[in-house]
Amino acid sequence: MCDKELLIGYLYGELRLSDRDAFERHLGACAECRSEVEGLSGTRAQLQSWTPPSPELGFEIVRGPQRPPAAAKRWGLSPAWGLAAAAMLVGAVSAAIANVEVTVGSSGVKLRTGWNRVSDARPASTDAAAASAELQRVSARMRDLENRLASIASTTIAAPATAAPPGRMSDAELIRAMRTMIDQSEERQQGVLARQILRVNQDMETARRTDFDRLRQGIQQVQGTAFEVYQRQKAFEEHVVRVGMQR
Amino acid sequence: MMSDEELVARSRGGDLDSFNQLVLRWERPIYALAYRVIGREEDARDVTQETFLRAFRALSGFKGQAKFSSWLYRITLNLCRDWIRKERRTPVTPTPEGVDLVELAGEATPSESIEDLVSRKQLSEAVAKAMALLPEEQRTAIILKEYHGLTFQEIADLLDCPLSTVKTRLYQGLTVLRRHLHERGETRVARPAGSLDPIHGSMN
Repeated sequence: MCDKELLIGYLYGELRLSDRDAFERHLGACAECRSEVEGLSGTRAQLQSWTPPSPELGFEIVRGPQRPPAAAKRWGLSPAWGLAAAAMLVGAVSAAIANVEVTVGSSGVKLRTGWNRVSDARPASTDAAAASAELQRVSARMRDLENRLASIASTTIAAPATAAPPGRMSDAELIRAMRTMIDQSEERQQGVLARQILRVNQDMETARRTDFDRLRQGIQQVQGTAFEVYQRQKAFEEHVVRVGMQR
Repeated sequence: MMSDEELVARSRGGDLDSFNQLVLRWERPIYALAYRVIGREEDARDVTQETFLRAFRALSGFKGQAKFSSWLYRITLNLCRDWIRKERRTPVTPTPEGVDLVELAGEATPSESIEDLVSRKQLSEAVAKAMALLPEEQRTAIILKEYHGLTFQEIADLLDCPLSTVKTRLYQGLTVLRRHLHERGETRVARPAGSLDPIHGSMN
């Protein structure tokens, strides 16, 4: 039974020089380990094809005034919101993806929109332009894909279908795969859009409630102050009347 | 450019901008880690957000005993573990979401044919599905090694397990992946190195 710890160390280049030399000598004599190293190296190469999505994140810790605990999580770290929200807010195209950052500050609720990380509040028009530019970029990619697909389809129709070389997809398979992927992409974009809109709505509602609470507290304070003034005035008037009667 | 340690020191002194620089620097790798462990975009986003919130709140307790990135990874993995436990209680087993075609097309080099693109997406999905079949501890070890470039020792420290356990998990995980991908008829390999950053996925 060969030493698999040595094999994995060799595979990842984490063996000491002496161990590596010894394992290479072993590889020369052991066909099973040779085949395993080769196979697992191939698997490692395949793993590199798995890339995560690259959404706009743009998280940012913001320091705000005191807020209700329930709202603190959502407001404390504002993610840069995605698809379409900015488009909704600034009247840009509805399928765009944009960041919408909602910040509660001393001057009230601020909404900042745009594709990229926003370091300061910027005019909405700048953000709309950024959203529009990104939308154009996505649209261009989609158009390019569609054009390339159409070109393959027309070639296929013009030329009789030939058998694909081994390991390669036939044109019909390729077109079918592309169409499925484009459908999946559209479905995903719609899902993302729906979730972003829901989040924006929830955040707007939280902001509305926070502002309402603040307003109510303000009114109560004003009412309390007015009542105190009224009480003092009343006491003063009673005092004046009492003094007048004594005289 | 300031090091993580310098930014951490400033953040602990109350400099919010410094902490936000750390967030900007690490949000992509943390998102990539969370996405690969749990396989859901929206949940990975939530885990990323929660990671930085927890890190921010616990910053005073971080004494630099580990690298800042390792500390973040540990928080993320704990959150992912909580997420996985919660998901296990639900009757539906989530399948990993694949990478969107538009995103792949955006990364494509001019020389890459549409067939290469489709092929890459299919391989990416096959890998995601095969990874989802692995036990959590094997999957995590492979993700930390393959996509984040951690050493065996760093993984052992992060997962609180012996070095030999890390190697065993990697070996067993890779062997299972090899078998699954082979059974699916996957003989394709990824694009040559340089087109994608294997450490941070689509970070660049």
